[in-house]
Amino acid sequence: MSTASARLRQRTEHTDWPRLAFIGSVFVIVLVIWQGYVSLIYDRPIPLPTPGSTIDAFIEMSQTGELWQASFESAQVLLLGSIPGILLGIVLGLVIGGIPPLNTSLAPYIYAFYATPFPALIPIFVLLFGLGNTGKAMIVFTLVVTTVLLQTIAGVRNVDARFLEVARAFGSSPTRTLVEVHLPASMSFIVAGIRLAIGRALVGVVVAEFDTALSGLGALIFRYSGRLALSHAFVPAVVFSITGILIYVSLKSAEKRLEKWRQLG
Amino acid sequence: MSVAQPRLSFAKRVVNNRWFLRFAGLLVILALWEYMFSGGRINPIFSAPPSAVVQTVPDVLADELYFPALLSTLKLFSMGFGIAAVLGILMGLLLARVRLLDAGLTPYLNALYASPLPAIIPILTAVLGYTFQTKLLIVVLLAIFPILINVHQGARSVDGTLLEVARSLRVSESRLWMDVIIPSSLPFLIVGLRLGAARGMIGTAVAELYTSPDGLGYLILRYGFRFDMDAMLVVVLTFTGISLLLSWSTGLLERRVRRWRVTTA
Repeated sequence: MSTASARLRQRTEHTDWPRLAFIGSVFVIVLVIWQGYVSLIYDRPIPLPTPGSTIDAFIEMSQTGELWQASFESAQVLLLGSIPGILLGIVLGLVIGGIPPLNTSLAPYIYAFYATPFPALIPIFVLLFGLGNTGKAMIVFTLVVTTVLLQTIAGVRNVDARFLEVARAFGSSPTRTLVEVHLPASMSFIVAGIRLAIGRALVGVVVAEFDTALSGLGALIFRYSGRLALSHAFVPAVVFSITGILIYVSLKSAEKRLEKWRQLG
Repeated sequence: MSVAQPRLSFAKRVVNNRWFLRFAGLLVILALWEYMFSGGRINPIFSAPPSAVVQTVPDVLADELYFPALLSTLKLFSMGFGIAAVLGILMGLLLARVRLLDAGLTPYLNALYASPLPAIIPILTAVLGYTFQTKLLIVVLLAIFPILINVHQGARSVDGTLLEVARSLRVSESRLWMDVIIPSSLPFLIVGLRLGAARGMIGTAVAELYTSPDGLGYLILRYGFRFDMDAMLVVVLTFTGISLLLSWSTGLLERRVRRWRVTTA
């Protein structure tokens, strides 16, 4: 443990500056080429977004407040659907994964549902739950539950048999074993599940917001694209993208740490 | 498997046959579904219990639009997936080979992989029009990243001993690729193809529903306008079937390659 954390500290102390500078300069070069191409070479009537015009659009949209309003709406849907989804997914996953006959009888169908390309389900959710936030939150909820559930099952079924033997030798009850052995031991799988789930949920939110075109960042993208104000449409898309990347990076690092911890046992 | 061990004595007697369990699971799910959607708990217009869905199957199959729609969906998916596979493999190998490209581009490719790319669909359709090419681009964009990233990882994680042996035997560069690098990154490639196919199907569904409606996506919307939930579900199940078939066949390939790898190692 101490060596692992020492190694970790060492890694963070020695930041690879040349590499970071190189990565940063690639970013700048791409932006310059993009800006140059659109303003010097591109000559079709539809105005493409450029880095410059996107920043202008961002300033305008944040001053009018519509960007924040829409971000708030999208975040609301995302949280409303994903928090209960994560919790229920973990609980169901522990129960189903912990009881092998239950797993054999249900897992194939959960997987079949998971494998369904979910955008095809969105019109059905809109019919069932309406165009408002309920419908969108239900889409997020469903996507998150199935993803977290399947990953939790995988985690529970990969718990080291030695831990279970110890728990049994000390006479731990099945429920207690599930909470105190299975749950912590499958944490890295669960975090991976949450990461995948949020990735799917973001796509679910944006597509559902296209469908209704009433609220949220997706609706902004949809409406501004319709008016060919593509720089304005690009701003909310970038917000979505940054959200996705931040969630991915933070959960991935948590996952790696948990995985290391899991394998130490 | 390791989990099953301490519980075996309990599970053994209750259930020995997993097909029995799966059948029982299916019955329970169908019964729950039937219960939820019948007896006036849901607006009868939207009611789609499995009994009604099953009865609608012949009607949907008899719809003269069904098979052309299925073909058009399969065509979009397979063209998009094919392009993504070829480009993804080439780019993945190139990145693994050219260190400068690897250092400069890999962070951005990972960022694009983590972004909800369907967010830019309205922008793409505004620029490229409501054409087949736009749909194809959406499928390629979604499917390519898992393929590219996995091929890249595979080509970089070739066993050092194998490389050393090859070098010491003065194997030529082309034979090194054909005999060492490509075979040992094959398992990664297949994982990438499986993930890419799943995302490609999501891309296909999004493209068919949210650009100019076409294929099975169009059928879902068409039945949706008539509030014909049963028929919508039949089409969704077609999507599920295609995805399961893809995931099953790539899974089969994965197991086969893994076995082959173990025997040569």
